[in-house]
Amino acid sequence: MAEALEQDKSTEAEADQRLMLQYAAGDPSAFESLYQKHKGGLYRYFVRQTGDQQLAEDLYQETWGRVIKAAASYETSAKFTTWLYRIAHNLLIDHVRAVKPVDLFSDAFSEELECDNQLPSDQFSPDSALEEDIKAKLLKRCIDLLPTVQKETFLLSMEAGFTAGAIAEIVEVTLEATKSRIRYANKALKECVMNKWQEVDNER
Amino acid sequence: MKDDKTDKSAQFDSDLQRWYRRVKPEQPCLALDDKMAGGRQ
Repeated sequence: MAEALEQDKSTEAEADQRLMLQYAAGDPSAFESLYQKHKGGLYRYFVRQTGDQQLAEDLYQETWGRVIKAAASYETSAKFTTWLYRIAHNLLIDHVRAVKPVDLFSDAFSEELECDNQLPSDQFSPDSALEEDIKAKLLKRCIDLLPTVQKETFLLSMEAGFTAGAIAEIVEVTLEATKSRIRYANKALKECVMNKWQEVDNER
Repeated sequence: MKDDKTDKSAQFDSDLQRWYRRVKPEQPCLALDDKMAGGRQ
């Protein structure tokens, strides 16, 4: 099972590389395929990292712009996704250096929080699917509260399926530091969701 | 040395993974897609 999944990932990575080479050779439909495949994950990476939709869209466009510009010099030595997210990570870092962090990491989901708060209490039931849905929403809030480096590690893992080794390569830290971020993020997110769930449960 | 894929300390908790997959995923708007169509900018 695990081997089959690894095989799928490897095939996916090869398919991405082929598409990038086809695009570099002048086939715009190859870019379209790559774009459709990776747009959601990359977009959410920026939206959840910055908490600012306009900024996220700017960085998202800039990332694809750099992919387009660098297509001719693309080499298959790196996985396409690793290359793509390294561009994204570097753009984010450049932006953080250029502005005050407090401006960048604003309260992203206040509108959504308001919507969540409007959930009438009688909508709650012991139904486990509903409990899972609520915990999913709570998780989204908790992600927003994570320190930036832990949040990035979480998003790279969830959105692009990167292993700790690949994340370490993208953000240029050691594997041990990446594992440590995963450990802290795991603990913080689990505790945050369970604490908030307890609050919700107490109000029912 | 343990491989990433078998090392639990290198992975996110399965509950977190399951909850995250239930979060409605945001997508770029169509205007952004149009700008990127075919690798044009």
